Amino acid sequence: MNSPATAPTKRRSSLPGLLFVIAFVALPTAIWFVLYPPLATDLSSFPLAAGYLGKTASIPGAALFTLSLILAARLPVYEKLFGDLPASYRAHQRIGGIAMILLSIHPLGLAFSYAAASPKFAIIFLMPTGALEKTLGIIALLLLQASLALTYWNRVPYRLWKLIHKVLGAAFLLGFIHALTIPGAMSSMPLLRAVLAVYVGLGITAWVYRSLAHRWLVQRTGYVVKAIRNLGARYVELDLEPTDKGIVFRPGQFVFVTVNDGSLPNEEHPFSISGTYGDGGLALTIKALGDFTAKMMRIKPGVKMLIEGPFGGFDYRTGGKRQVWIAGGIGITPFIGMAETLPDDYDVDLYYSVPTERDAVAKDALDTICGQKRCIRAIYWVSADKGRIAAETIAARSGKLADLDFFLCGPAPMILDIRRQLVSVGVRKDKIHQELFNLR
Amino acid sequence: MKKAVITTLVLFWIGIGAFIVNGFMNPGNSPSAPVGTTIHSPLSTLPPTTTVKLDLTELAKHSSSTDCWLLIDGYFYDVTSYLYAHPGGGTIVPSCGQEASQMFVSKGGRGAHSQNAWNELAAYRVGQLGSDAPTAAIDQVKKVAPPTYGGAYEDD
Repeated sequence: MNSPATAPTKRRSSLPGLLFVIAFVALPTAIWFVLYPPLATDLSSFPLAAGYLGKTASIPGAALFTLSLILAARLPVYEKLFGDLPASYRAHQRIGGIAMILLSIHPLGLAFSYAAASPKFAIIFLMPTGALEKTLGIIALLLLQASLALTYWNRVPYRLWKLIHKVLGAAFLLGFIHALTIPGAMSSMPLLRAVLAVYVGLGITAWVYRSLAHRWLVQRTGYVVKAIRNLGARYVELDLEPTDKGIVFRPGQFVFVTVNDGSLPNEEHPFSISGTYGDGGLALTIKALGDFTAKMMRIKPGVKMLIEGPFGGFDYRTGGKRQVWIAGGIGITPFIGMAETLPDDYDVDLYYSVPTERDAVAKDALDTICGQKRCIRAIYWVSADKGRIAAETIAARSGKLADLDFFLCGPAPMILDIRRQLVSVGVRKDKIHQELFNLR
Repeated sequence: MKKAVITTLVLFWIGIGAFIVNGFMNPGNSPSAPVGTTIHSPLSTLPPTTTVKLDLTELAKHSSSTDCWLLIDGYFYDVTSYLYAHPGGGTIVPSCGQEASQMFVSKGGRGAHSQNAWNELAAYRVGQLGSDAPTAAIDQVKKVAPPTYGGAYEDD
């Protein structure tokens, strides 16, 4: 592991990302408004106004659809733009949702316009018959709507989730062919068409990079499993050694792991780095939460893995010296690495919340660290006995909450609940640092 | 975001359903006016055998987004139903009821219309300036479907 710097690191902001998104959408939208200003049409007529709205909505809709694909490419630069990778994924999801909403307004607005001429014309317009350019647009929108609806299904299987993202690329391509070929207001706007042509190129490149050709294009580092420790029935700790040069990481970061020697399904999943192993190696602590992680319980030494990363800005150096760390279950993993390297001038209370005592798999490791360091104290919290951890409990033990920085990692419902409690008793949002594993 | 997306999907499909039901419930293929307005064409009150003198006085009567005639290169066109399909949307409206040759040729100063646009325009022709047009023929023009990229419009 690289030696941790003791100088405080500034917490990364997502403002550059927001500005990037605004600029990306504003460029084609502004060109559209200049070439086809609202005043050019009779907006007092409802059908004409609806038609104008329908046409207009498609421009930012197309730009946001492009951005959503670009943000799915998981490039390291997104951590600079959005603060950390999970934040860029949240932006990817939100942007995709807004794109779908705008692109759904597009045909509805136009249908109002046609219906004003005759109700029957609206049907002719909405049917996927006639000109191919129009049919492509209809197919693209249906694919986009169906894919997004499926991703909101909480337990979408990994393979379906992968397939959905391949389909979204196809929907994107069809939608842009529709936009650039259909006769319409944009036919006589070469500048706007040129900008959108560049956007298609960017979106398709990102999609090919991440969804189709990632196994050849994405840079990953080879590791071999050297040792395995069972930490109870549903937990395992793996020590990994790089086959060549290992990645450089900070405690608290996470990586995407792919097992590529055929012993496990060829899928990639994110795991927090829980510690170091030897020279350049790393340790992962894994809980059997789903199909793939259940199979990882039976992993054998010698299994080869590819690792992409590291990612994540979950780092104690972004907070003050007095900190409270709250781990829920397997959310303890980034804290172990952070605790090992925590400098003595920090003062940390680590609340380790587990459903039952048997789930406190990192207890031995933490006891060892806390025995050696005076800067960190571990508080075990078995929720089967004491109920959910609450802000008052923390205040009673760790002091005035407003003076502390909070680092939270664990299941989303628990983290969001604690976050809400902390905010309600007056803790500033920028003092709450969290890691949520919802990268899909 | 999840809530907004699901709400949009529900509203979208209710809207699409409403358009389809509305289209089948009102199968008449003469254009209907937008909600809350009426097409105030005096022509519809006349017996079908009568004719209308196509002069500038008549042209001026058709000067709104619900009843729009244009005079282009000596011919009258009723483009009311086309307004809603025009790529430029309501940009035609200010020219309704007027001589619009220059406006059409230069696309209001933004370029030139394609041959395709000229072909589409022909479908909306009412008659030549100065001629007498049968009202039946004029009413027929109102039934011409705008290009919804849906193929040929079939009469009932």
